Amino acid sequence: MGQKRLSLTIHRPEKIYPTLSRIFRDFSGFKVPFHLQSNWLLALFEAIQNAFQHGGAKKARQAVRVELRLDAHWLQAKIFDRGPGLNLKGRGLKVSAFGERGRGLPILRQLTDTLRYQKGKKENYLLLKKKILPPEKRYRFTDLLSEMSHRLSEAPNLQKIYDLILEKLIEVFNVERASIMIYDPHEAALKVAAARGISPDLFPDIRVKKGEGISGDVFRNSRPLLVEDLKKRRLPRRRGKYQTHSFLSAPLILSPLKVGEETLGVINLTDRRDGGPFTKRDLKLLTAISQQAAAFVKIGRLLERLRAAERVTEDLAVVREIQTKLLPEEIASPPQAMIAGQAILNERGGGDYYDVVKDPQGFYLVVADVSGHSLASALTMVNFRSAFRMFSPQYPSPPALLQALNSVMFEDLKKAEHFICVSLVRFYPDKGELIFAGAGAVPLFLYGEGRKDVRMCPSQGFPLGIDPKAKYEGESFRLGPREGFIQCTDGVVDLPLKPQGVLGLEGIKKLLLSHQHYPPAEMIARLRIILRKKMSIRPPPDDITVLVTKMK
Amino acid sequence: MKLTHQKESGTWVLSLSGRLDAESVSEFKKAIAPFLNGEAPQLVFDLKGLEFIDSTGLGVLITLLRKLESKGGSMTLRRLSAEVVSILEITRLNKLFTISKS
Repeated sequence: MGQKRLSLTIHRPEKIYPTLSRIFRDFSGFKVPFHLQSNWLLALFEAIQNAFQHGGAKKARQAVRVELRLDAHWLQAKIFDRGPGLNLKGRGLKVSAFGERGRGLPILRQLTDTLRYQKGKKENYLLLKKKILPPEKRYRFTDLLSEMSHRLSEAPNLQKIYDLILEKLIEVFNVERASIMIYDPHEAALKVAAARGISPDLFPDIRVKKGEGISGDVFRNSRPLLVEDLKKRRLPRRRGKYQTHSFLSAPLILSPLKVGEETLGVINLTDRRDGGPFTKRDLKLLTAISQQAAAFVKIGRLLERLRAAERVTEDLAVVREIQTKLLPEEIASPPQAMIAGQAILNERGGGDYYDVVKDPQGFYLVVADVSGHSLASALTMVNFRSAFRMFSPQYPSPPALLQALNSVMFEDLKKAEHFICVSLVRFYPDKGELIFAGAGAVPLFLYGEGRKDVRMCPSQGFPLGIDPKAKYEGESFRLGPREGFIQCTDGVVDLPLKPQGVLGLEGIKKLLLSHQHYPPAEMIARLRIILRKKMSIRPPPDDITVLVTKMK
Repeated sequence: MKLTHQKESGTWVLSLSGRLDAESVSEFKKAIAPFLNGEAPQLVFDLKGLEFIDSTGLGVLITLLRKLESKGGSMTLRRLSAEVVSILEITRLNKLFTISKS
């Protein structure tokens, strides 16, 4: 790196900070190493302020002239004044703890390696020099790791961990461009998790396959790499087609982020601000920092997973609460019949629902199942319940009611990518008459004491949310004394039983035949005990909902 | 320099942002004066927004601490940036001020 020089003149004290800030903090050609920026800004601020205060500039309304020099080893500043001069001798570090003044010079001594005042015939100058040490001499390795550990342990999320690692690497290695790439197993590629000096527009598009290019090579081999000249380096594969060079330039150093045998990603550093080469010592230091960083990335990932799991658990609790509140607390059976229902809700939450609504003419009995297992499914069920309760008094015919529900809910269901299977029965208990209409539902089972068979009435229409113009059909039945019907969801049909298999439609029929003489509530209780014993998976993988109606 | 205030559990929390240096200390002294009245004032300075402090700014904070302690009050600094922590360590004032980690 050649020597860089910068001369500036500051005309008023209030211009000191803006001028220095522009040079040290913002982009400028005068690239002060990152680790010296804040301290050197303060040192120069104190020195120039001193020139205004004591160098006669303030009194004589003179400007303060400053000369800066930077090379690979030294940062130097001369602050000129035309005052009576400053005697540095005997003005050391000791300052009264409670004194308001006199701290400027001790600060200057602390922040510089050389501080000398030179008197001249026409003007004097204060010389400040700071040696620029290589990273391995600048940082005590244990202190560096300790500081990183401290800061990383306070990071609130994984992205902040990436950002903190990157900030520290940029400071330690004094580079313009750096990136952390993390392997995404779903895309089987390295993706940019954090970067500096690269346009953020490029981030989402960068994908590097294992073994592809230099980063991919480092990731595959899990070994750090120092590249002096990119052109001389033979790329492992697809030479000439590799598109991700755009943010890499030589010299560069790369290190895998490795925890135990697992490689999580790659760190890339390039473009040293002083233009100098990376050394093997740099690579050694980067490797050590990478190991520490990898451990924190791993911990951060685990914590994110834990937080996600906690969020899911909270969501599921809400789903279960919503579902439970939708179900009728008590069913008011008519004098001529007995009605009982039960929903056993899955731990993941689902979209099962049953309801019994009475109007002056008769009853509506519904069993419904929203696709999916999530908060969204539960919310869709809330909407279905509202629509069902609102429209049921207006549509005494089950096919017409299903058509109205499908029509009003179709757009929302489509957007949510949900559909609803519905088993709907219009029941007139005084006459023992019923009309069944189904929308992609499990068949209606008709049974009766003394009957030797259970009759199945299939569902004829599409589930709600599939076809906006879907038509539904109804089928009528008349029940005699001690005859009844059962509506259920597919969770019952698909119930896994030992040793291997599911309950199925035939299994339901058999159970009904053997339990048809029980009143509905007792039938459900007994079936529940039997099925619990026979179930091969506990808890069942889906909601199980049954609604049983039986004439007296 | 900008100073905003709010009361937390009976203590004034003063959020200082911008720069506290030779150019802004007189403005700071004026802004802080109302909070020094009364008996045993308890002040907490939130320095999250403090970009820069020089030796003059440090000197004013020391004078303020001295005043508060003479009245039986106290002063705490919190949410310091790495740069401000560094300058307090260089000047060894980290031993003098009460610095809260929260």
